[in-house]
Amino acid sequence: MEDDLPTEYDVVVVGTGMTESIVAAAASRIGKKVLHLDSNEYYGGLWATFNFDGLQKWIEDLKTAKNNTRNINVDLEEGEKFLKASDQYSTVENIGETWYISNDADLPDVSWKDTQTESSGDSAAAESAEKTDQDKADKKENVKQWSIDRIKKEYRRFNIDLAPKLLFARGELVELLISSNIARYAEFRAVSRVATYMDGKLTQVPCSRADVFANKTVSVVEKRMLMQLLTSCMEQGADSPEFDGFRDKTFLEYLNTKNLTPIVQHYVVQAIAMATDKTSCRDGVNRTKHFLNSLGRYGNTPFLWPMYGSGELPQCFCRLCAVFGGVYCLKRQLDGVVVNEDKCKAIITGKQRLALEHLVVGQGHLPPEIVASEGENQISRGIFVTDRSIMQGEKESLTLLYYPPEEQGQEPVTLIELGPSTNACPQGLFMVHMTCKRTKNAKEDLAYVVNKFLRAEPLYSTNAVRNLSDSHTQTVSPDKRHLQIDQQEKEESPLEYPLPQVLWSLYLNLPASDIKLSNSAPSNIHLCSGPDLELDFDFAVNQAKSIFESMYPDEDFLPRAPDPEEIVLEGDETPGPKFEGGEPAEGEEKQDVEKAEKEE
Amino acid sequence: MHGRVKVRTTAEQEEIKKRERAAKVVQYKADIATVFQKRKDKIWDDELLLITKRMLLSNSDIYTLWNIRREVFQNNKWTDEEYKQLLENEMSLTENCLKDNPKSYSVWHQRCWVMEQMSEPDWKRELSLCAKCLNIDERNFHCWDYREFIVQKAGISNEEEFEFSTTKILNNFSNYSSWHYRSRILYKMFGTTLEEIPIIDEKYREELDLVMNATFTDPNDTSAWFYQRWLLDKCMTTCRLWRAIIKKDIAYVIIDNNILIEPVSLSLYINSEVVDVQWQLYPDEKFAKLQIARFVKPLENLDHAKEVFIKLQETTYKLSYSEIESAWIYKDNSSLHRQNSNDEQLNEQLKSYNQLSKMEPNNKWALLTGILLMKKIDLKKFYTDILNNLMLLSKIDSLRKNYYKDLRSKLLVEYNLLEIWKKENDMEIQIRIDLSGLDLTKLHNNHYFGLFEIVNLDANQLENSLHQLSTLQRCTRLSLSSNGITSLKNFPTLHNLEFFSLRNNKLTNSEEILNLIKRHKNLKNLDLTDNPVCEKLEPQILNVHLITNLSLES
Repeated sequence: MEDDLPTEYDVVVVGTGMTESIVAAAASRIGKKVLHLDSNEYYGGLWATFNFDGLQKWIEDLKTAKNNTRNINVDLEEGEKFLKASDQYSTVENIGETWYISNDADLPDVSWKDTQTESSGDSAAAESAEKTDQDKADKKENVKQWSIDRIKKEYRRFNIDLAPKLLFARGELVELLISSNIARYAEFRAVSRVATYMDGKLTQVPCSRADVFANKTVSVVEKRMLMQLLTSCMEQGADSPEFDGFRDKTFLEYLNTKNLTPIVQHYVVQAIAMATDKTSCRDGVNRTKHFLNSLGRYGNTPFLWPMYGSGELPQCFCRLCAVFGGVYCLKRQLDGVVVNEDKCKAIITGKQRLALEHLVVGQGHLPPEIVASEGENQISRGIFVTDRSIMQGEKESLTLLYYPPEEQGQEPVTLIELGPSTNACPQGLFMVHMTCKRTKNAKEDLAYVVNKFLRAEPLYSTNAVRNLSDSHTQTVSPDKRHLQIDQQEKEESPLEYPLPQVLWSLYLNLPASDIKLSNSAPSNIHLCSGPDLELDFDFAVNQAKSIFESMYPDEDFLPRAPDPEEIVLEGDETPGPKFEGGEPAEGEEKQDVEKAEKEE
Repeated sequence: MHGRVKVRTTAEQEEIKKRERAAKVVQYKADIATVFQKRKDKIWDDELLLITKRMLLSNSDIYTLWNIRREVFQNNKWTDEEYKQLLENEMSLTENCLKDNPKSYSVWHQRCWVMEQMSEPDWKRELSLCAKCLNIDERNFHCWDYREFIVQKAGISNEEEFEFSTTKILNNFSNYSSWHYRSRILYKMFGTTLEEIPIIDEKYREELDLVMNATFTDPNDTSAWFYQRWLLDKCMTTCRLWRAIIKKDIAYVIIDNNILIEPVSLSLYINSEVVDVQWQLYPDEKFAKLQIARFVKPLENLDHAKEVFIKLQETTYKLSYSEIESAWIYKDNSSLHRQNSNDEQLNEQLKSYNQLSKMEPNNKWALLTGILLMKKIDLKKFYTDILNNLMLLSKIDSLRKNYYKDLRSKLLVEYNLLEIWKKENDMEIQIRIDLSGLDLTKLHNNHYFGLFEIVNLDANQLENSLHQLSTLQRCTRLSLSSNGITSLKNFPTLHNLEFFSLRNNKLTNSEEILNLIKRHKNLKNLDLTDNPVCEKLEPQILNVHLITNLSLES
């Protein structure tokens, strides 16, 4: 039974993706009556973050074909047309889920010595019942092993992103979160290292001044070169005469004229500008500048990661929208739109006809009649749960790696690795996200990077190599003997850091956001894209801004929302809570006095 | 509309603030009156503590209130238990105040005082508080100072603090405080008495490399360069005899002294008997490096003396008899043979900084450091390079061109002095020096000039440095032609001066000339040719004063 909603709105927003949510918040903030719908029972659409269970359910739901064939009877007035909504533009394809570990029942008795992070206390307790006599012998070394059952049992500790994205510390989204005061709803963690693959291994890129200073791999002269180049990109910008000769050349061609050492050039191209050999000089400089601009604000790298996943951010905007009176209704599908000439008059949802001034709609709900082109680009995604970080470090890191194509036909891959402290996964595990432009399918597109940095083979057949200690190899089967030799060889080169073992992986292809409305589409329908290929959210923020501006050209876009203390309710005659806006010190001071007096 | 939120307008805010402020002023006036009355009446009670506390929480810089609180602490008869509690409360009060005003001198001072009053102070807790504060603001020197105080009290090892400074510097090397802190710990841990380097060689190398990483990462950050300077430019802390020449009627003693401000104790022994000497101090009482004694009664026993000693502070120096000089002399030539143990590394550094100068042609610090390094390695070898670099420096940093001119003068003088001393016979003291045409602006280390008799300073720019000539007390012939001198007001009195050339200057004041002649009884020849003052001077002064040759031609 669907709820009855009020029937008239200034703005109806369909879909709770990033762009939609920002527009909804902006409209609500200036006093517009907003209805925000989503056919799912979760927020975010293709921007969502799920726990392990939620993700399984999402996959399951995609498999069962949507029944969108129900007949809708719409009472139309003269001149009106009904256009049925479709979800054909948000199709997720090539979903492939793989387990590399076994169920508890199939586990061999081995102890697991070298997980990188300590497992949390309560789960260790749960496991203690399963201990064998042998395990007791070396109790301290024994950290229990991951199984399918265990991961499923700890599903709540996972936050898995469909569209993992970072925020540049001085990017559009951070500025918007601050200026609108929405930042109070979110928590962030600074990306702790930007890595790059060089000379056959991963190294951390010195990107801040402190990093460059402390770095021991480059010489002092290289340090100067690096700083000099970075400073010139930063201060001069792409329009500076410095780059005059390179207007139609690539960034690489420009760098080649600077007599940089290979290592410095590598840092700049692959890690800072995240460029390929085709990137234009202009783009390269701008990207470098963007990167550098964001340095030194929050951490050692220019990036922030939203705690609990990217899917948190659309919800923050929804929350603001609701605070200012927006009406929310999840599990409510858009059945279609009513159009009269070049205006959208209303939407049909459930049995209701809801009148509106503006319709803001995500690409998953568009009637095909108003779409000009479906868009060509798609995204290939890979999500991996692993047992250790791709790169050894003293403490848990949040790592960004840009990996440029090795061969013709490959696309550059962005890799984000999250540790337990971001709440992406339980203690002892890591979550690796890979993203690139689709050429074939997700699995094939990402294969070259997966093979380079991860060990994506079933664990149960060969775990002896990795995990058996001598005491466990008393009965050596012929094939295991062979493995043991392997192990000895490995031990001879102790510097070798093992590849992270993949425990579980998911591949999928998502549509990218280049769908376009036809010219004949009603002018008050505003299309919101899904996740794009870029590293950050700026595309969505800018799109939301321009949608808002076209709807309300004379209004402020998300002015600062008041803190709860600043809010007085209408008709409230006595002064509200103490005002803290202008001089917070004053308020605190008073509190301190009171506190101090109590102490006495 | 229903449930719509409303935000207070600015006018509303203004009004509220105004009211709050007025109330605060009234409260403050009443409070301060009570406090002073109580102090006057010597009522050291809880209420006084309460009021001062309230006031300090809103303004922790009123140091009088802190003073009054300490008076209360000390004047009231508290039980041990109460006193302990009071101190504890004071700790949390100062902590609260520091949250608001982390750079308040009076609050930090109060905290030190409280810590010292405590019977069982928790130094470790304070140390972690310092670390926390320095995380928030790594450049708060108050906190660095407090840390030093705590570290000393808590008996934290130098090693730990050295590690701490490393962490801080790696975090952000643009921090004078942490470099300075580091230099102090290093000196405590590895300080040397050597002249060339402040800390032992091994550490010295590490530090030079560390700071080079900083200067290459950001050559425009001055904090690292200052630390670099500390490493390269060790200030010698010596007080020792440099030269002495003792004759029957006069004794000149020159000491290298850059630590003591008050006059040093100096005595002369002939055949183990101390000679009663009245020393005259130059350039002035405070920093006397040249000491002269004129013996009214000649030291007749000098010629046949077996031993002559000079005792300076606690050290005794043995003099030798020089046939050439017909005098007992002492010479310390250690400056001629100075050698660095780490020339190799210094050369490496020099190479790198030259490269940095090429990469950053407008960076003055790289050039300046290059100069300091070259001077340290071999002044003579790099003589021309140094002068070229100095020229460049005054171009790219023209605001400090006079500083570079002075630095240049210093190096030129040092170079020329070294050249003279090298040529000297062991038993000889050179009396002639020619520094003409060098564009000198200053005479650094002017005590080294104390034994010269014939000094040529023609064609320099010493017009503003005449006072530095005060050590030329042995000088009989001085030439200061073409120095752009406009006034002789600061020209010192040189007792032995006989021949003095002031040709081609800009002297205008005849009074000054007369005064000069009056002051110099031995002056025989004064050349004032090509000075505007010539027209004003009457030839009869020749008669009045016994100058045999006064040149006044124009």
